Amino acid sequence: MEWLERLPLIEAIVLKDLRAAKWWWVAAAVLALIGAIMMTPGAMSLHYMNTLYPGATFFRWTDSSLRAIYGIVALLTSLALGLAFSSVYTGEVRRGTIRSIILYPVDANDLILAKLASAFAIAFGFSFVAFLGFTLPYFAYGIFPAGDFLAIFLTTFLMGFVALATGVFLTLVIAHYTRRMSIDPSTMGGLFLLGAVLLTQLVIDTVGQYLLQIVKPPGQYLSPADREAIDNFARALSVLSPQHMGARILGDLFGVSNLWPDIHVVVPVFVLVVAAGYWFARRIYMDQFVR
Amino acid sequence: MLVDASGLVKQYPRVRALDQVALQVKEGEVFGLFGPNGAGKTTCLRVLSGLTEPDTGQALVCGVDVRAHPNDVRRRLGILFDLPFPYEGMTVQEYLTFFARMAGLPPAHVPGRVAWAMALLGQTQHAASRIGRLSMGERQRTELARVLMSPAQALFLDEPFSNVDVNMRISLRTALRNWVGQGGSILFTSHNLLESEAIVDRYAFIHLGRIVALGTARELKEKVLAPTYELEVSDGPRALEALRPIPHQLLEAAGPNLVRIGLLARSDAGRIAKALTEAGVDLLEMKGVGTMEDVYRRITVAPPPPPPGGVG
Repeated sequence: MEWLERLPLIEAIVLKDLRAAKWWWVAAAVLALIGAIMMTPGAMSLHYMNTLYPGATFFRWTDSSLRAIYGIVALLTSLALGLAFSSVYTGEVRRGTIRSIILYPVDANDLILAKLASAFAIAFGFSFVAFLGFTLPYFAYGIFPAGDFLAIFLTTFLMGFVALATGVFLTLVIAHYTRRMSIDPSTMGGLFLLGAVLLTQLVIDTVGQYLLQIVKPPGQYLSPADREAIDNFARALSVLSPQHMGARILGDLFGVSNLWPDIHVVVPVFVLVVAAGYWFARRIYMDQFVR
Repeated sequence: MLVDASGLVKQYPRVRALDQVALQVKEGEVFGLFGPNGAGKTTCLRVLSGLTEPDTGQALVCGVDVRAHPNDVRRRLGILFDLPFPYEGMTVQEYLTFFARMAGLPPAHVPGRVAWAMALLGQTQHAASRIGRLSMGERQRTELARVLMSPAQALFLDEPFSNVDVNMRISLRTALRNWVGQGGSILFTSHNLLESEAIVDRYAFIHLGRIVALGTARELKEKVLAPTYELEVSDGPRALEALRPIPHQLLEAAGPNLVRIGLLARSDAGRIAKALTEAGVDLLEMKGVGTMEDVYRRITVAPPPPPPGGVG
């Protein structure tokens, strides 16, 4: 089928999913309200300090402040993406309503693209409203640089989406070879989202140091050589994480670091897996989506 | 030919659902596929819809090679399977609007087509009702409306009349007949053979994955059933005596002045009137007996096993 014929079907599924997502918007509004109420006193007091002592709490990006804020936003956006995809895809499979959709001329790509688009829209709306709720007081009082924070939000969201899409399309490749949906795309997408967060340099470093300290005999502590070895290991492994790539790009943009953004693994893997998944999915029989 | 399938085989781990299935459905024809539970009817529909991959065999549906383009074929089909799973949170109107768009109707035509389908199926008063609150019969009607509004060349209907009341069945049969009259075809499965006789043109009986009989009702009755007639006569006991010389497998009084005779050869039917006339018995009415249910039982019910230990 031509794209001109397929797009209206994809659009119909996305619009249907968005109409059914009203509880997401309610939850986002509640979360944003709670965030705004919690954060406003802190923002007000910082603003008051700045008025009393101009420049006392001037915000400046450092390696640690970027890592901490990027990590929190990455967790929020990854959680929203994983839950949204699970809601629109696995929810449909569990309720059995996918049996009605596949009676129409959609192929596996149309279905997966529609569900990814729905998850993108729902998760973006949800996490953006929640993110704004928590940060708006700081923006309003001019404490945080709003543009930088929005760049962090967009980067973590897009990198999370890259991880999710890679996982989802990988299930299509596997389904082509096993001739059944051996792994739930939501599960695989969730694993990739989790992996993107866990494989960042900070997390591998922290976990690595913790584990090495546990296996050391009592009374012995990590040596500088141990720390360097873990650091090297973390640096080598973190090239697999889209979130690591996003943080590196932002670190360079904000002038915190001047490092190669490590795009040489994530980008080719994403392109290859999505292309292979798309290619093989054209031959997948739609009954594979039915439990 | 809207459906032309041959040599279809589908093997599941424990059962061969389709075994060398071949069938043809012509334009303007209602084709009934009948068989016991688990015979392979639904698998056959799913394979022909491009939803399930056959192991071997060929199928052209509406001119599309199902194995080469399994997803394209559904552009030309309206499909209803037994046990629908509708979106319970949607209203009937939202549900039909969504599927009208999925069927590829141009956006400008969608509201009119939805209104037409709701009116046809008597669902207009339920337009704003959530599907989760409808009775099973109303849900089934909504599903039928979903199928009928699609711009399809052929309809694949699996148990379309289940849960639908008698008046609605009659109007649905008319609607489907009108639809077929415009050049479409219907491939239809049901367990209700008596009702199917009002709509089906040709039958295929499937048993253990194989097509075991194929033809019109008349052809199948002639082929499978012994020629049995019910006679209304002026004198029952004399009629029984007069008919006894004709080779038969059944000869009995079915009521006062009512005789039932099952012949061994259809060619002996002409001897009935002659024998009665010679005996001075008036033949008031003679009609053939035997329904498609009798055909079905002859085809699909295995003879009972011998008693343990054998006979004698």
